[in-house]
Amino acid sequence: MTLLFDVILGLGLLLAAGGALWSRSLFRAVVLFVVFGLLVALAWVRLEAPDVALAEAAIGAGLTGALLFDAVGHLRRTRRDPPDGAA
Amino acid sequence: MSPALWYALVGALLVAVAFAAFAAHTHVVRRLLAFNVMGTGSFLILVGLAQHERGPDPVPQALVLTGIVVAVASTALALVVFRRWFAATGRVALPEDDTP
Amino acid sequence: MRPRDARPEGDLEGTVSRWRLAIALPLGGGLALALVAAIAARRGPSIDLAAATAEAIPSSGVEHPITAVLLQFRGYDTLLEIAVLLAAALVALALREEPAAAAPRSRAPTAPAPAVVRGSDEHDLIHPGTSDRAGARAIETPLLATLTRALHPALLLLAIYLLWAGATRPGGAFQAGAVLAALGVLRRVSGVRPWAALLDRWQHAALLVGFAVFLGLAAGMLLLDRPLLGWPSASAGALILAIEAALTVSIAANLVGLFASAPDGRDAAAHGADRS
Repeated sequence: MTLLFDVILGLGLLLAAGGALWSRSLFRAVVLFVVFGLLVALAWVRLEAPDVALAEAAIGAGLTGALLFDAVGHLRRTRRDPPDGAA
Repeated sequence: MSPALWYALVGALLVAVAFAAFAAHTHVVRRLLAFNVMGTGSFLILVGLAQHERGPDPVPQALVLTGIVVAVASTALALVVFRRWFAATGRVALPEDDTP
Repeated sequence: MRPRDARPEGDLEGTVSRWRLAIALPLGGGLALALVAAIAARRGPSIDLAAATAEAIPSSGVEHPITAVLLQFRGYDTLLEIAVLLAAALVALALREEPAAAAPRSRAPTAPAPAVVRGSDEHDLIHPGTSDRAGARAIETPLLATLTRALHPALLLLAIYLLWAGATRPGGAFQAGAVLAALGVLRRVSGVRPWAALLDRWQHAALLVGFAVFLGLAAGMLLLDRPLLGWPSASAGALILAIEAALTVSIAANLVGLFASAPDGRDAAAHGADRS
């Protein structure tokens, strides 16, 4: 049972990472990166590393996600709302 | 195969996928994503291999904990520099990569 | 004409050229094969670090092995780690937008960030706040504001618990600092920032305190004729807790500083306009 869980979690990690790295939309890439961070936190629990799991959930998924969303929002805003209205 | 070894193998594949993405993309934010996934993959290898035969080992776990914090700090710094670069030039790739 | 206007819109999302893909995919495949082969051919470690750690735990002053490794056995790594964090935050603070270059906005740090809504962005929820020199980005929803207010005591309590728990069970300065940093980011994003004036005044001290306390205590051991970072076992527990408390504050302050010093989109647009 746990073996099945490990296999599914490992494949889920690879899928989420593939989506985060290769998806066409940057926003979707960042969403999948946050998903990836949460799945990695689960993997740390399976590796009996609760400290790392706590840090990964808070930092890897939460904080890095906030930073990246902020940056992507910045890119989109700049494109959608050109300052001089001419472009 | 122990779970630890399986996660080390997953980590190896993550490093490879992220390396390919790092080489293929020129967009700085996408490269940062690849950099972070590569880092996580190497953390999984580090802890997975160390714990394969002997069970939980606090030393690699502590190193990974330090690594996660340093990774987020470098990502944040890179994003600050990238956003200054983007504000100044309007480009999302670095000049040496910015070939058509 | 600004360079970005000359480029197709999709390029801000990043497109991959065919020849880059043709190089990258074989590279990735080769690396995957090499790594899997390396893992298959591995030899077991010659030193049993887990056993060595377990043996040394009673003399470390804490019961949780991870905390013992981080602040006792490999304290040097953690000392350098907080130094790296401080360096990153200092670079980010040095690079942040000059207040004069940003749009004319009030610089009073005490204002609880009433967002300035510009006429042109009715579709955009994200506005530059007025609360902060670095260009705070406030998302104005009553839900987020209420949530942030309600989460203040809960996250503070959680951080203190994690810090205290680090001595005996999973937890410690890193996790507590991450929780505090999450609170700080939430404050920036929601624009709800109680005690903003007080915290802004102490920002530089908070950035420095972790590295300063850690380095001071580590070097202080030299005066006592002990090795660098060689805590005396009798007071090791108290020293480690003091260092961890300072580290928690600094980790949170540095991460929030890094988040907050990213240039705002509005500033970027203003810069683009200046240059064209």
